[in-house]
Amino acid sequence: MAAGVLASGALAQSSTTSQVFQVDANLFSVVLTNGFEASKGILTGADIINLARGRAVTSAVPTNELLGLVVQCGEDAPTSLIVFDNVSNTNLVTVANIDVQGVVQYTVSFVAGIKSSGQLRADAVLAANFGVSGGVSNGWTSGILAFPVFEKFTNSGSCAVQSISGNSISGNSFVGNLKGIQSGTPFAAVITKGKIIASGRTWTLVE
Amino acid sequence: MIASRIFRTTKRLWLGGVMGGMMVLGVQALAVTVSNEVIDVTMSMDGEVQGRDTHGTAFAAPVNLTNRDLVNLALGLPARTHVPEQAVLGLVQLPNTNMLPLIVFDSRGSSNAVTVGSLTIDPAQPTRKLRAGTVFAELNLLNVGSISNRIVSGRFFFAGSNAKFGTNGCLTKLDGTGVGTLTAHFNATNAMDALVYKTRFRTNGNKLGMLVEP
Repeated sequence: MAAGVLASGALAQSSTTSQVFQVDANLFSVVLTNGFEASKGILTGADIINLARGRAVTSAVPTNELLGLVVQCGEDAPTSLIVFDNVSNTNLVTVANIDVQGVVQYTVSFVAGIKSSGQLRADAVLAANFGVSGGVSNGWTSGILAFPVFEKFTNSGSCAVQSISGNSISGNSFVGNLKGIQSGTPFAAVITKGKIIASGRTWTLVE
Repeated sequence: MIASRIFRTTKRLWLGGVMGGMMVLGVQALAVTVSNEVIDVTMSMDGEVQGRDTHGTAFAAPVNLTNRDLVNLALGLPARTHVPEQAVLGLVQLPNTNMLPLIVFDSRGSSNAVTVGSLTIDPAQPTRKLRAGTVFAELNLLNVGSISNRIVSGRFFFAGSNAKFGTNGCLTKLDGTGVGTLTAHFNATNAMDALVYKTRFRTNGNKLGMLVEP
């Protein structure tokens, strides 16, 4: 009976369409291993991809793999950070699920005095919750990355986010606490500032 | 003297009476009180809130909140108004724990006027072996206040580069900057989300007084 139901397509799942914004990351971090501050450095988008794919951070990133912020069409803020395959247009691995802490939308901003803008914009505070990804020797185990993003929207359509960026420039904060394993050694990286840089390229993900 | 001490005292209470038909005489009950030091907290929040003008046009209005506003809202008083002198924002020093209560401390009564929330320092932060270093902390605020002036919730994340801990594991210094959101009633019955793009949470370990609790 179950087979019959499946065969009839009664349980077919509906698909969701999302925008994937190609981004890079530069996260200033203090890395702690075995209880001591081992180093200070910059955690890059390539590092995030490599660990999420179970590779050493020194590895070259395949050209088809890119770091992507996913905005589901109809939503106003990203809901996940993924490693996206731009050849097969698929999600290779979800690095973090994002909690949208809050959103403010506006077409007129009074932030820097009175200035008007006909374009819809949105500011949001995000908390990206890193899950387990990668392998036993190189990978992510947990963590959180909290940062504001600033978005511009087109004035029509459901997939309406035009651009997205987040950074700690202009006095905004960008903090986190990411944990993983690198070459078999667990580490924690406290992020003290950083930025998520959108390249301007977007892709479509249908799941 | 170590930075934080716990004093356990007993009050001897002698009870007498008839319980369950049985005469009970001279039963000694022990009431235990715990005292912890409360240290200073300075917090600021810069961000924006959603606004709409008379034409319904959405705009982003800047917001800047400080200790005064948090204390007022937690006590159910309007933000931006005068804070009772004895009401001070403070962090309760608990040894060897990663979750520290954030309270409005009544410095006259040495009591907790209201618990505002808790600051959690990641337990896996191994910098405590050094008793100083970079830490990550999360501040969660509770639903406290009155109907029209109230903190509904808040979640903030901080990174601090020079946190210090005493030999007993008590946090003695933290200067962290971060990001978060505050949901609150500001002279209204509807809650409003304040996006906070830069917040600073600072304690120098200055003692405000002893909090005595049963």
